[in-house]
Amino acid sequence: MHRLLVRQIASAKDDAGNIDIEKLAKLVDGAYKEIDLDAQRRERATRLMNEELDELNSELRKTVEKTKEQNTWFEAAINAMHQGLCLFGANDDLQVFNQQYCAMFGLAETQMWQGMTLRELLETRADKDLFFGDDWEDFVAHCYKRVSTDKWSSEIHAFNNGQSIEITVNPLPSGGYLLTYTDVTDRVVAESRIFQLAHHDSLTDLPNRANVRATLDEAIERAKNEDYQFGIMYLDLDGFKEINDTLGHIAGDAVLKCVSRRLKDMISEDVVIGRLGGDEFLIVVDRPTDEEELCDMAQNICDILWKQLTINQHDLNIDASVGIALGPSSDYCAETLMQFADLALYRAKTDKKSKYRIFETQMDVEVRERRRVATDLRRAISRTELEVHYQPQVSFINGEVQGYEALVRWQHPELGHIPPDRFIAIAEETGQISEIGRWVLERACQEATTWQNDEKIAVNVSSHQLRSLRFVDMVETAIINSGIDPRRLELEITESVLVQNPEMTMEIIHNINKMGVAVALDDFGTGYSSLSYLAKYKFQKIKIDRSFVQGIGGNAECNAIIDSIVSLGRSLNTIVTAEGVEEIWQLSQLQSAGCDQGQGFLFGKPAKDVDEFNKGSDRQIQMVLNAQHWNRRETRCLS
Amino acid sequence: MRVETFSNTTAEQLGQNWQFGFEPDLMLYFADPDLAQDLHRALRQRAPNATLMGCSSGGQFSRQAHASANATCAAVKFDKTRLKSVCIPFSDSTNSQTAGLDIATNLMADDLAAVFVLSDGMQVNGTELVEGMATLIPNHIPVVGGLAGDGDQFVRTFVGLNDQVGEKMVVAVGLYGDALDVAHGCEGGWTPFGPRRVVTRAEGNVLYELDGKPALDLYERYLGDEAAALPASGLLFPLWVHPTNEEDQGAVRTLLNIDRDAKSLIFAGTMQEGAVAQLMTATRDALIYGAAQAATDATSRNKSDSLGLLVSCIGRKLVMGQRAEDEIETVDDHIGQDVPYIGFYSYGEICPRSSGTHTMFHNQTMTISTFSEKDVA
Repeated sequence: MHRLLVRQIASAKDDAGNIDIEKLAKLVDGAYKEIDLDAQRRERATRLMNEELDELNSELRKTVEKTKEQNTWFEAAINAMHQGLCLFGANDDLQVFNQQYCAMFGLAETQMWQGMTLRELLETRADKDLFFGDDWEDFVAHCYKRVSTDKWSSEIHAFNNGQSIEITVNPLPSGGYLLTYTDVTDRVVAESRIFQLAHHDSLTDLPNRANVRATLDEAIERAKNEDYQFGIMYLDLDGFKEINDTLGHIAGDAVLKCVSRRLKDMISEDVVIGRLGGDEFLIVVDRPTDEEELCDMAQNICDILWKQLTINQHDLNIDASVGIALGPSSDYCAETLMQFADLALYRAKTDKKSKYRIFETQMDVEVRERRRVATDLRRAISRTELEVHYQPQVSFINGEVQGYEALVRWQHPELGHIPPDRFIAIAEETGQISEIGRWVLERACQEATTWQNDEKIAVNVSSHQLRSLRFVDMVETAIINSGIDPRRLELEITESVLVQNPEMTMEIIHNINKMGVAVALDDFGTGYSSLSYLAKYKFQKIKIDRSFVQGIGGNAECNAIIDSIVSLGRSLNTIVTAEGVEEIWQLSQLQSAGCDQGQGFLFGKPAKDVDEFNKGSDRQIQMVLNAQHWNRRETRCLS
Repeated sequence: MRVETFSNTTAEQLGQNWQFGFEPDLMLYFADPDLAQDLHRALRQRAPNATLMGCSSGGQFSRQAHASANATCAAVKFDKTRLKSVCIPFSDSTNSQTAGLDIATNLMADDLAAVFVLSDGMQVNGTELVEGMATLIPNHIPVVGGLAGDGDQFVRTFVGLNDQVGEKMVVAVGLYGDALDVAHGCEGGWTPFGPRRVVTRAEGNVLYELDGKPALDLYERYLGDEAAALPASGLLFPLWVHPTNEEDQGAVRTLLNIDRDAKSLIFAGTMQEGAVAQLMTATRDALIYGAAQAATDATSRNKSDSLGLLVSCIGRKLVMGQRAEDEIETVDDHIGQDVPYIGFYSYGEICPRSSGTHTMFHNQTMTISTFSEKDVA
């Protein structure tokens, strides 16, 4: 009997043990009802559960369909990306990749499969050199190290096949990571090119000023730390400007390229050469054995550059000068060293004894002094520190003062009298000579108008002034402003002017002559002494350089030259003036030679006031002049 | 150790007529809600020196009276085991975890061997209470017991300890010494069914939404006409709740109350947002099998006298109907013929899932523990 029924019967018994049927029936009925209710609950629950499951199933199907659709979109999207893409799960298993990844690495999609490890992925690229470094395992280890962190990272891999790929690792919140690949080869090449352009001279491809300067800074630092010496060479091409002016900038550029190529070919790897600009180069030599090695190298450079090169069918020999400085010293910075090398270069250029010079401390002192002179000279005119002194030009025929040469003098407020040889050259270098020349011309013209007699006034003209036709205007202005008779004015130019710019000089001389102003050829005999110049230009006067006058008596050649010049002057119907006449016997000799006039200490030192020359000549001079005068007259009569 | 159990229908009978041949150390009782307080006082008078502890319930039973008793008691005389009891009253603002921690703080000692705990059944979060005790009491010390009941009314429950009896209390007795041996078993017999749902909104032990829909709606739908009998009818469909992907950490949860305005369900344990919940159902045979399994696990290894304490969920009684006694009878068959026991239908069970594991708060289970003393040199 069922244990429930047993209990129900037991419950339905009264105290006497009789079964109360009604009570029993009630209990059994209750049990049946419980079973029914239980069945109803179960049925209801099952039905509801089925409904819910159907509903969920329907939603799931929709979701699957939607997911399929989204997958299609997703696939289209990732395959349309410019970047390659690989998504790995937390177990080093490839889940997603796109076509661009395959295309980027030249892989067929069949070479890829879901679940492949990163190592297997990398191995598909191994034989295509799509890794970097020498060791394949190191590369794989590097890749695994990158993806094992939970931080975003991006790195450009320069693969051995030349491709540059930027690979970004994006860790995923659920574990795993997303790799994106961007081909940045063009960008890397462009950046490299930009770097090259920023640090190299575009014409010669040599390191540019900033680059070579940085190299120099590093060299100084290294040399200080490791206690050794290095050298720098400042190289400059002589006459490069003339090449540019005469053959054009394209030819000039060709010369620079050629020079750069020759320099690159000859220097070793530990020597850095850069172009500072123009025709200036800087060479940094790490650890030279000694100064001699640097000198040898400098000489070698000059020799190699001197070798003939042909530009636009012009054969050229490039002359170079080199300034050498050695570093480091505790207080020498790159700027100072470059300055030293520049000073040495300047000295090499001006000395003309050697094509290279090593910097010496004295050079610095000289340059500082020159710099001060140049600076002060700028203010000299406005502060009326300049003066014009006059030196008489005396006729060898009658001893009369026929004219004066205007000579500029500088009375410095602190340094006192500064002789012309200390500042004229500087003024020429800096270009200030033009301004000084203009001032002297105007001043001399004005003062000449105050003289009692109408002696001529000779003013020196520098090559700077003759580079422009405006000089003619300047002369005209000086004449108009002073009111001087132009026939009293005489301009002295040197032979070098004629050589530098013959065409323009000729035009200027022609225009000046047209105004009635005379032109004298100064310092004749020291330069080119070209007879063709004398024939080509109509000089009203030739001035024999003082060096020949100094040589009279002791040097037969000087006498011969003087005779020749006098004879030439006579042939050209040009007055011949001797400069630097200091001794009476020089006067005698010059007069005998037939020289027309002279100037020098014998007749008077340059002085501010011309009146003192009019007090009368020295008796001895006068006697010589008189005697010679008559002798010459007789000679002429006899001949 | 000596044990006597007694079941009868009135307080007077229990208090006056119950004769036992020893002076008990511990007296335990479970009684109908309307009888519990009077019974407590009567028993206190009957054995004023014993530790007296008990609670109201959803029905009580013993080996002698499987279903008919209004109250059931046990008197225990220990040979070696020492006792210490504690009563923690709590207010509405008291956190259940704090109450659990207070109990542990009072009872914890090096030789603590087991804890038997009874709690107010309506006003406590069983999960938090157990967590509070577990803060100090290590896993190898079993904590067993349950939440008091109120028949199938879910209104008021009482617990009592010594001179105190009433609502809003947690009482516990600690059993100390090497001699005590405790075996325990805990099984349900319920099976999850239907879709898995996600707890999308919950606060403490209040469940508001499953899959974004009011939780009460789900229960009303499944209960149909029986929804009118909520919260009691909610016991028919307990919830299987576990953290996502951690099914082995799951627990059965049964509702204690509902809030029709908020469309929420109030459980005896914590409901975690994000957890997975699934409705459960059971056949009578499955529940009976569960009880048999629990009894087998709780069978004492000692041949000497022992006491069985059974705590079964009120929900099981509801489902079992007239066959509720089948569950008790199967315990008789498995726990051993000579083991006396008393038990009650609770609003929540407290027991480790298996030996050596941490104590958990359960619903819809039969939990059985047997206490005995072994010979200690």
